[in-house]
This record gives sequence, C-alpha cells and structure tokens, in this order.
Amino acid sequence: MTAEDTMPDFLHALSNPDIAFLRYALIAGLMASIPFGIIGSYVVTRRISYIAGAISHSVLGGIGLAIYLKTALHISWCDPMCGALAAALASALLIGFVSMYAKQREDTVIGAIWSVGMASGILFIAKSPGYIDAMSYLFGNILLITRNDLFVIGGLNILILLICILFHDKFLAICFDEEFAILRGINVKFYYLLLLCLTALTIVLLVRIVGIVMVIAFLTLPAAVGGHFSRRLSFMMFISAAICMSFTFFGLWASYSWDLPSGSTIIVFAGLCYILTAIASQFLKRRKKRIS
Amino acid sequence: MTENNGSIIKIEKMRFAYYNEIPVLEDVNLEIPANSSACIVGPNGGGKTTLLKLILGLLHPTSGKIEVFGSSPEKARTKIGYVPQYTAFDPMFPVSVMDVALMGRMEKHRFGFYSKADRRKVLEIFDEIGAANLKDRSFSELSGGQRQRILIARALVSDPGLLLLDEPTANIDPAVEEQIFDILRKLEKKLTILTVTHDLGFVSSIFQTAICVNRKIVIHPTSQMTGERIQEIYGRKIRMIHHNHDCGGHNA
Repeated sequence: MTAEDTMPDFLHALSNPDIAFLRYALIAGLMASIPFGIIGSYVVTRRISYIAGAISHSVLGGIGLAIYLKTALHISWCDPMCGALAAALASALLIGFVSMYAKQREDTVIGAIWSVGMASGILFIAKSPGYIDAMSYLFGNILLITRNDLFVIGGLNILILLICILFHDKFLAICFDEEFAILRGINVKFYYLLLLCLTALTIVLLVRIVGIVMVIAFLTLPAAVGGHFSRRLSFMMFISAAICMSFTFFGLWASYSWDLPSGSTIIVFAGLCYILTAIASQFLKRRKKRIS
Repeated sequence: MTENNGSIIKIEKMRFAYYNEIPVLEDVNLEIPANSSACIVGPNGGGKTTLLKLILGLLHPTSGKIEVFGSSPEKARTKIGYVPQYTAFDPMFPVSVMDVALMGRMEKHRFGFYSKADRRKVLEIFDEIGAANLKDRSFSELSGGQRQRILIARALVSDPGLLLLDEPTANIDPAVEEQIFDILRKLEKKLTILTVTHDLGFVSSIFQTAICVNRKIVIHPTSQMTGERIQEIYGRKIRMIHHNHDCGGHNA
C-alpha cells in the first residue's frame, strides 16, 4: 500500500465510532503537543533531559503502586494515572532538592530514581492479582486511552499553559543564566522546582500513548528539531509544538496503516526527522561559512 | 546613588576559604568610596573572581564582614549590575538581544511579561553604549565583543549604583577591546565601576586605583604600577610588553 492509499482510510477510521480509541489517541496527542513543545524547549535549553528521563521512568513505580492498591487492597479510587502523577511529582522534587543542595551526587541520585522507580513498579505489578501487561505502560498503548483521559489531559494542559505564561520571563532567565537571575533577587530555587514539576506533569500526559521509555524522546526531539530554526525561545516553543503535532499525526497514521505499535512508530518517525534536520542544518552552516 | 554617604563597599578583616582549606583570601580590608572606580588585578588563582563573588553575596566570608551600600551583599544585590564573561553562555541558546538585555529588569514584575517601560529603558541604554543596531539580532549570532556589550547593557538597565565586571575584554580581539574600554571610560564618570582585568595597560588608562589581589590585598594608585611593583604582586617574573592603547593600532 502506498501512503496516498491509506490516508483517506486513516481519516475515515478517525470518525469511526467503533474505533474511538484511535480518535482519542490523536486528540490526546495533539493536545499534549502544546505543553510538550513548551516544556520540551525549556528542558532542551536548560539541558535537563536526563532529569526528565529519570522522572518518566519513576512513573512506573507510581503506576504499579496504584494498580496494586486498587486490585490487591481494593482501594477503588486509586487510578494508575493518579499513581503516575504522584510518582512523577515526587521524583521531580527529590531530584530538584538533590541538585540544589548536593550537586556532586546529582547523577547518582538520578540513576537511582530511574532504576528503583522501574523496579518497584514491576514488583507491584507482579504482586497485583489478575494479568496486567507492563509492556503497555513501558512502550505505550493507544487502546488504553479513554474519554476521561482526554479531560484529564485537557485540564493539565491548561494548568501548564497558564503557569508558563505567568512565569515565562523567569524560566527563560534561569535557563539562560541562573547566576544572573539569583543576582536580580529572583527565587531561583522555587522556579527551578516549579519547572521540574511542570516537566513531570507534561511527562504524565503522554505516558499512555508513547510509554514511559519513549516519552523522553517526545519531550526532546521536537524541541531539538525546532531549535534548528529558532532564534528566540518563544518561537522554538511554538514550532516545537507544531512539530510534535505532526509527529503524532503522521506517526499514528503510519501505525494504523501498517498495523505497527503506535508509540514506537511515532518515536522512530520523530527520530528520523531529528537526524535529517541535524544533518541538513550542519550542511547549511557549512555552506554559509563557505560563502562568507 | 549612595546611601551610606562615602563608602559603597566596606570589607573588614575578611577571610575566605573553600571547605576550611588554605584560605583563598586573607586579612582583606577594603573600602571603595562612592564614585571611585577601581580595577582588580592579580595572578590567576589569586582570588580575583572569588572577591567579586563575595561582594555579590554568591559566596560568604569564612570570617570578617562585607557591607555593600551599608547592608549585607544579599540585600544590596539588586543595586549592583554584574557583567560575567560572555564565554560562560551556551552559544546555541535561542534568545534575542532584546530578551537578554531585558533580563536586567526581571525582578520588576512578578507575573507576566516585561512592560513598555522596561523596553524603553533597554533601548535607551543600547543608544548610550552604541548597540542600537543590534537590537533585533539573535544573541548567538553576535561576535564576542558584541555579546560582551549586550551583557554590559543588561547590567545597566537596572540603574545600578555599582557595576562589577569580570574580565570584560578576555577572549575579545584588540580592535574591539578598545570599544569596550571607551564604554567603561564613559560610564566611569557616572557610576562606580569595579572590574577584574588581566590587562595592565587598561589599568592605567581608565582607573586611578588598582586593587592587587594575591591572597592578600594591596591597593595602589595606577600611576605607581611599575614593572617592579607588578612583579611583586605576581610573585614572579613576568614578561612585560609595554604597549599603549592609543598607539594608533587601528591604522594598521
């Protein structure tokens, strides 16, 4: 099948009420692209993608605990999404405090949170009654997206956007020159922790579609691609969000057309775009140099 | 601009050591009166940057006292304009020249965006230091000298009473260096400047006082900066190249 043949089919499938999950996945992906573009730009310019990686992997611990509490201990309000949110925020704060007060041990703590988070998640899931597929949390599964998730994603979306609009000037300043921000009397520690918490929230938004392991790619690749064309951080955010949306759309379409796992398809597509733009921008730079 | 009529910086019997090791600075007494600019010279590792960070309150003395504008450095901080070295920045960071300069006024609003008054102030300073033509450029595409100039503007937009510069001409080519000196010469008439420098020619052409830092502090009028004295400060023989910055290098 060629691409032209499958596109109308894909568009048709989006409106098919029997496979609503596909539509939900697309809406979730498109909505989440906005905070991913914004927060991803901060993460890439502040160079904290490894912190984002640890936060996303610790999410499995929270998901596992929530499932365990729900199925084994019958605490019915305990949803995996709540567990994910709690774990992400807790590890963001922990890493934040460690990086502020014990800088030389930061990488060790990040590594510990990364692996212990995952390991405890697997343990909880193993001890929960019934069959739970950990793979779908690790690598994403669009079948997991429900209508309710869309409302949660929408709400978090608005919250993240609002905070970023209110504090963009401060975030830009601490990403660019933290020392100078301290000297202007800004509470840099507060804003740094806030930024990490926003990163945690953003990660939780898309864990269901692309999975814990690959969500980090969604946070960094669109911003890295967008960075090649941007001369201002605000523009980088805008273009990264647009790129993120197109990754979701074309990735889902490809996964639908060739019956491929959605998360992996989206990420491989994003990775290819990143490599191509990186090569192209190197090439353009060299040409510019040769001309001048 | 000064509140503590007379001295802007007052350091008494100050000692500083990292992690209780050998002190970097010892027995430091220093008083900078209002409108008396000075430069800080000395060998690498002698404690110049440490002294600057102590005055900014980024480091705290092990013992002794530092007062800036009559209060602690932390409280006085926002009245100081600080110019770091441009090489400390990520050269790829997507930020405009205007965005960088506006950061000098970031504490003036709690939420939202910079005001029109903030932007007006930045443009005013750009005019003053000859950077108006750069305002729409991206910070990453500027040359070293241009970046340094924008960082000076960023420090000035908050109307500081004291300007601190850390090696403003390091890694800048000599022709552009002269432009930075011209800016400092002009500013020196309006506010107190304290600059770290390794350029001894620079010392005598603008400032009357040189603060020589090599674990201890000695203050000299720059007119006395003879070869012997410099050797004494640096604690070893250094090769001296006599050069005058007004020797017409631009004609070459």
